[in-house]
Amino acid sequence: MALGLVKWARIKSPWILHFNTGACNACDIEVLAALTPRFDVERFGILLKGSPRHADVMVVTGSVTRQIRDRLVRVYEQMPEPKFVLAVGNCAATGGVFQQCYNVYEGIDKVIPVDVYVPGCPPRPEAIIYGVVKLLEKLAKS
Amino acid sequence: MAGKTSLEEAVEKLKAGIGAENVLEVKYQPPRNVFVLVKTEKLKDAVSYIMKNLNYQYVITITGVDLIKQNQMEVIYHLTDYSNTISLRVRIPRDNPKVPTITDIIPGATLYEREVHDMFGIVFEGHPNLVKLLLPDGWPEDLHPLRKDVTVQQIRERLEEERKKGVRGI
Repeated sequence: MALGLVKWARIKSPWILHFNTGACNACDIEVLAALTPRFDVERFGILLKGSPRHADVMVVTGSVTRQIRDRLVRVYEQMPEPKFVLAVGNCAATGGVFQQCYNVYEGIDKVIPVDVYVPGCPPRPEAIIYGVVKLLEKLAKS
Repeated sequence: MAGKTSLEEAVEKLKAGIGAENVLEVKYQPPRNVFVLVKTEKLKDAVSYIMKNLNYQYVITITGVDLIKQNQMEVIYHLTDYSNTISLRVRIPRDNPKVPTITDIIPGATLYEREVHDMFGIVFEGHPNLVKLLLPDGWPEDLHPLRKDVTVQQIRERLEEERKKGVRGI
């Protein structure tokens, strides 16, 4: 009963943490556009948090550089269970144009588990919202 | 006016300034660029001559080239007066890549020299703080990603080995 309530609350209001692992800022701007009044995902209860300790979903943009890898894992470990990861953009999904570089990993899934991938360079805010909706569906089934 | 004539004048003055026998090769890259190969021991003289006597104000960047077939490395100093560019080249042996620093003439070259040191392992003698600039914290000191004898695959394998040894930040 209590668990069901928690799950209901989580689906109705997922709190997200936005983390840039080396993106060019394009994906970050699209994520911000989704959060701010033009698209306004806050009306669905999706709220940006500043601390990983308060977040349910980590929205990661950018290819994972070697420099940021340990920081990413650390931030991911600080999030409370159950936690979910949304990879926004081609770089986050596969490394994108930086695939054969000596200093990047080919996608976030080489470092931490990813639940939903949103392709695009950068993806439109609609696509990011659609990705979040897919994530919530997955969450509802869990 | 900017153009080839004033660049040619600049090269003639440079030859007179540091001695024509120390200028090994001159190659014009129209319309506003010239590549000048000088002897390594005359590099600092050439840089200070260009900056002081020819009134060039600014170093655009410093780049390195790994000439693996000749077993040499090249460092190129791109100097400009905001209309023309003189690119000073020096050749150094690949197994002992050392050049004197130019940071005492141009303090702004500090970061460029550190970058070239990161990427090619070229040692700039006399540099005040020749430590890692762009590469990640745990990067091995003897691994230089833009050298031609190392592939991306080899770099990745080496970094995985280092991680297994407990090095973090790569």
